Amino acid sequence: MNKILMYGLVLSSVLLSGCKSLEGATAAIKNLAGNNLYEGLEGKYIDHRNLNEFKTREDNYTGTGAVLSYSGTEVSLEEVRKNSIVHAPEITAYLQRIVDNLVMQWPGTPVKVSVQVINSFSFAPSVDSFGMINVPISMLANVESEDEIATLLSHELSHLLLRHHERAQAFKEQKENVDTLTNAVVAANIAKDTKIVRSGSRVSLDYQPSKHGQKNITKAAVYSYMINSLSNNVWNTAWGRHQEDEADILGMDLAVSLGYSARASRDTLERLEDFQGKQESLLSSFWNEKSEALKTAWNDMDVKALSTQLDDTMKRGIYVGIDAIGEYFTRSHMSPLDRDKNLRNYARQEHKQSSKKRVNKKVWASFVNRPENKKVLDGYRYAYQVNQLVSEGELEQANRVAKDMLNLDIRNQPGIREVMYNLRQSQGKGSIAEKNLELIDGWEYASSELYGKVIAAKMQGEKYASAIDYIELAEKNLKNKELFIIEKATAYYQIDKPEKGLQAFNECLGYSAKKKICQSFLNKLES
Amino acid sequence: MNKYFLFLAITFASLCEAENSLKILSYQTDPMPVLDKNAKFIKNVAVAELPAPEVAVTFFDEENELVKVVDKDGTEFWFDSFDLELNKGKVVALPCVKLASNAANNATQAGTLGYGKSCNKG
Repeated sequence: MNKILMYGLVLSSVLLSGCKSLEGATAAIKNLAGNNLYEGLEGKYIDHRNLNEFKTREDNYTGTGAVLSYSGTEVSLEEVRKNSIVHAPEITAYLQRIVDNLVMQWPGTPVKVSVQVINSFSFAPSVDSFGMINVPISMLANVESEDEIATLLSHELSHLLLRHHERAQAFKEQKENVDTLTNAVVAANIAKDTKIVRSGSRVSLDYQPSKHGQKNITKAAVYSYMINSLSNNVWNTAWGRHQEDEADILGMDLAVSLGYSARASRDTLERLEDFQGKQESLLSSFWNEKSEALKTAWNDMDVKALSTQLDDTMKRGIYVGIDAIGEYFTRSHMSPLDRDKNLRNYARQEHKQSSKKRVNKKVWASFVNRPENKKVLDGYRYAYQVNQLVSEGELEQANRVAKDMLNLDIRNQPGIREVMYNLRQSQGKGSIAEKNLELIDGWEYASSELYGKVIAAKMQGEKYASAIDYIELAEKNLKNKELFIIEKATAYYQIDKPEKGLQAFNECLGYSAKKKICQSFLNKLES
Repeated sequence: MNKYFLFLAITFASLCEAENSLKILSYQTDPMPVLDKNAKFIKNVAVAELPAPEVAVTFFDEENELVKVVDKDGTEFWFDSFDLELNKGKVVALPCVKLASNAANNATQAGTLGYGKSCNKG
């Protein structure tokens, strides 16, 4: 009965809230549609009186320098980064310089904004609510000019300047649907393998890690890597039509005022159109593979034998995830080519000279082909290839490509070693897989998913003190204490620090996604 | 007989090539600015007087982003591609992995399985 209660609480807290969020997201999409911004627009949008309210502000975003998220504020679960950061100082500084110059073109209060490169093969960048612009490494491999880069960054900056995040809560909730399934399986695993132990008046938790569903959890992790590689743009930039139009137009005004060509927007939107065509079919197939793996892992845990209702709930959660991807692509999301058409008309009208100026390809080509920068692009391209080959079961070929990857001196970056971990796990070499995690240099760049892997490995290996070290590292670097709180509490009990375990369970009550399961643990411990 | 099949093969290949060639799908302004091959403005021409889309592009100057078409009278027109809707545009290359056995690992390959229209840069 205890196990059924725990499973039920895990699912209700993690999955069912996601289902309701999906309904809310659809309504919010309609509300954000707005009127056609281009109709009757005269003059440059940056000078339009509608923007006056945004030009004077005094809030957490205003000022210059680094973004707020790295100044002490906790990042919510849905905004915790899913992609590893790429450590590329020269490229990052180059991008930051462009953004800083764009901010100076804004005739209002400046905003704090930073740029980082992430391990993603989506095409366009995205901006989070803290002012961090995430630039996928794939974008840098595909653009042909600094004009394109400035156009893309300027668009994201405009979302910040126009405070679009304040109206985007529904889209963050939708993102939770895709991510919660893996969390549900991991949390259920822990709950399943944990027993309450009483010795006199002393109550403790005894965690005996099993390997239930491990093979399929590994398989799901491989597909998660692919999904995260391609979907950052999908989930963080699900803006309404009106917001996209605003960011397009203001973005163009800012970039052109810096001397960039207005023609670059055509190039970027054509690429975005091409990418989205590829992305949809890839994401759907990866998600299907991942959900099959998770379903199998769930079956391995033999939940159905305990409760058919729980089993049905899990399956419904999987289909919600699949539907969420389908819904994203079929809802009223403006076609990049329609945006391009509108923007080119606007450019001809308001930026006539700039629309005749060709983009400068030489400067960017020279920069990106410097050895220091080229190795970064090559290395992460290899990483994507290795993971793709692993997902197809081509382990020998994956190994060959991995050798090229490991020859580069970026070999110990988190995004690179994560792929080696996936490869070795798929080869059934668990201890070598774990060694790859220990070789990581720069855990401050690791994704939440990678932290999840190392923490799960330590918990499975009964190395609880080490698990706690990594959990605390994750809390510090991801700015989130909720993600691994159940693992933290459980681990403290295993190293005979029940007071810290209890403290963690009590802290957990402050987090909506996990408080029910933590309350259940507390009830058992205190009864 | 061999010459006959060769003729058919060449014709078929040419038709396929024409099918895949660059075309103007629409003019984005009316009138359209007509240029010379150096992108210098010549005059504005009403769309009704231009070759009706879809129009095959006879030459694409990629560096200057100019396209040339020829109407049925043999008159050449140069346009800025920014003023046109074309059937092909910029693409995104994803790292392809289902490579031919003798291809280098860092190759990108057009039309590779499962990646949509093309894996190659446009």
